[in-house]
Amino acid sequence: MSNCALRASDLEVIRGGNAVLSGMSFEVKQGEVFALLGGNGAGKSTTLLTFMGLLQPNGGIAEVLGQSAAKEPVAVRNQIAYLPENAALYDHLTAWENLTYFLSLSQVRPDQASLSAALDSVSLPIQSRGKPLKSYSKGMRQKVAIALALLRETPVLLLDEPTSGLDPSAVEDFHNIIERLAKQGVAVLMVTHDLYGACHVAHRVGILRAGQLVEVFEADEDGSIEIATVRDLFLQQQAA
Amino acid sequence: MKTIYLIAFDELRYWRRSKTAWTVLVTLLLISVCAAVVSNSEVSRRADERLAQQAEADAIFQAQPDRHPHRMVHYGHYVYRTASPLAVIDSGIDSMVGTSVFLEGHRQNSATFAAARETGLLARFGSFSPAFTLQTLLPLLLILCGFASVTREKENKTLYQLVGQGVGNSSLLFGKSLALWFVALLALLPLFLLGFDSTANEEFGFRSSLYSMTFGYLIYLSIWVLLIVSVSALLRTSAQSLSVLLGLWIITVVLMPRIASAYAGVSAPSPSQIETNLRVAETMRSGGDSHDIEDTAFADLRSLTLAEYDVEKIEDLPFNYRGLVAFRGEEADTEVLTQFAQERMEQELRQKQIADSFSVLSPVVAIRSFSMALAGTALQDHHHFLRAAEDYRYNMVQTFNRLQMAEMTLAEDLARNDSDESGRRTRVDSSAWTDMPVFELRSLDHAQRWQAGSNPGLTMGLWLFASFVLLLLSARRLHA
Repeated sequence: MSNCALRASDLEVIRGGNAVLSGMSFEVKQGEVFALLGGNGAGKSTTLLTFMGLLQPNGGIAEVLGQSAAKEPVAVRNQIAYLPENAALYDHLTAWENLTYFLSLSQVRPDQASLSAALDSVSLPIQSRGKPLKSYSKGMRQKVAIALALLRETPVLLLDEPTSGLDPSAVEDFHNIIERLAKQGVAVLMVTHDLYGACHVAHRVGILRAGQLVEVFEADEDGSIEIATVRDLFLQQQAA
Repeated sequence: MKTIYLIAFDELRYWRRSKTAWTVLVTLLLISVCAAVVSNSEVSRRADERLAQQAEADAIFQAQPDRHPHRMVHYGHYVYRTASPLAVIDSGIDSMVGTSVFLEGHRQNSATFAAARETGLLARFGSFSPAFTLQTLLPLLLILCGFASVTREKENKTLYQLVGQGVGNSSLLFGKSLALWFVALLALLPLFLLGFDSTANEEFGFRSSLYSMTFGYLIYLSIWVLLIVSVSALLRTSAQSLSVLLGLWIITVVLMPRIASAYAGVSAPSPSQIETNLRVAETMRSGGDSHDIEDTAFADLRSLTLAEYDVEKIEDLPFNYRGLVAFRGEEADTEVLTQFAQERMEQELRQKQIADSFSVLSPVVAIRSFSMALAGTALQDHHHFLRAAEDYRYNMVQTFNRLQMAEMTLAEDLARNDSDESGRRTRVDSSAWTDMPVFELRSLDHAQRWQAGSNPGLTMGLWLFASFVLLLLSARRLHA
């Protein structure tokens, strides 16, 4: 039985007459963290939205646990926790209410202890949890969004610039969470500008340019990726 | 289904916490309650006034002393239209048309004393009635509440989050609609309770009409709810959504009903009152003057009557021939008057049909017609009142004419002005009018009201279907 959680095969997406993804193929296994690095307009977010079934591919296929995202978007979304770049949560609700509401929508009913544990794991200050999100900083909002993604307990996690707006300590905490989830078998696809973070947490790092995967780096036996090599190629691709 | 409830609940929670939405909601409820209170006191006052005026008119009429019956024919009597209990919700054309008719011989007077004419131009534009609130203001307030219901999710990117939780587009739009519908229901409630209270005695099926009317308003408000959410789903920004919805409101609520009335007036113009009066007078003149027994128009009547009773002279008839001429004259006059009245009513109904045909372009035109029909304040109810008043007038006049035939001889009648004594001999005992039954208007029943409202009701059904289809289409087109 294949342990492939995400599969993009010859994926092609055209938006506004431009090919955003052109013939992209890759797989992410269960328990694997795959980071996609790329500049602006490389097609990073488009890749995630296609896996969510929010964008219809013009060619190829995007599968989540063997299901086509284009054909069965709702079923696919139930297997995915998605963390957008800007934490898309409700300003009029508190952290508790945001978590409870969105989890109810995905048919998850966590107890108070699980909610607290999730918020503890992202280091959201206790005194802020009962306040509406309109009083939160960008980083605090991001923490709530991460907690929400964790509480979904889905087999697949899609992350769009997840550490954007987080302080260094929160970034470190976040990386620990991702590593823990991967050990639990969760497949993580992360798109980011953060080269160092990607190399630190991912098992594989792909360089994306103009909708094509130009290179994939794998972690060596001790689990690390040579940052300098990735950086050089990344910068080279950016300059090209 | 649970997802729909959750989304609806959160939308209501958002409104509760948002100052703007909360202000709109409170305003909406306040307007609804105020309209109920104001209308209740205004309609009750008017109804009491009419009852008092009717009682006074009856008392004055019955207090008349012994008189010659034909003097009573010309003395006349006022009858008043009793207000429908559902006029507290929709006073319909009640305030525009007359509520009383002066009944006298040889004439069909127009209804007079319209409230709008008494209160000036502002009342004609639209009074602060519950119907005005429901038909005109409530859609506007629903727009202010709901124009951003979906665009807000797009602008704040929360649509990604919702979709990411597995929420389907249809569930999202139905949830948003449910919340808005709940608000509409809340605004409808005080007005329903008012109607429920005013139809407590269950007369003429008005309670059933209230239920039908409420159902009609629910359909009407549902149309608006679905349109608002659909537009919000189809457009990208809240500003676009608000502009389009306000435009839609102005066209369908403000302009279209006025265009409909103006077009109906132009395409089926009514003859002027003076023109009609001249035609009626001309037609009646050719039928003779029933005050003059020598009028040649009654020559046939004289010869036939003499032949029937086998006598030579009208003085030998066993009754007062002058009374018979008055009786037959009234019969002929009434036939002419009824024919003209019928023509006028048909003309008014034609105009109404033309105006109603605009309901395919505006649900407001449909609900207006439906609401008035069910409230018992529509054109058909006014015509019903005029017909009932005319029947009463005819019976009253002919009763007096029969008295003139039976209670005096022709000689006595002809000599009635010769002396006081002669006058006294032609006077009829006042018990004749004291015992006369008072005018009581029996309203149309629920089935008749429902029938009158069926066409606009059907049009609203079509509007609801179209709005529902639009919502489903916008759900298919909705993307984050």
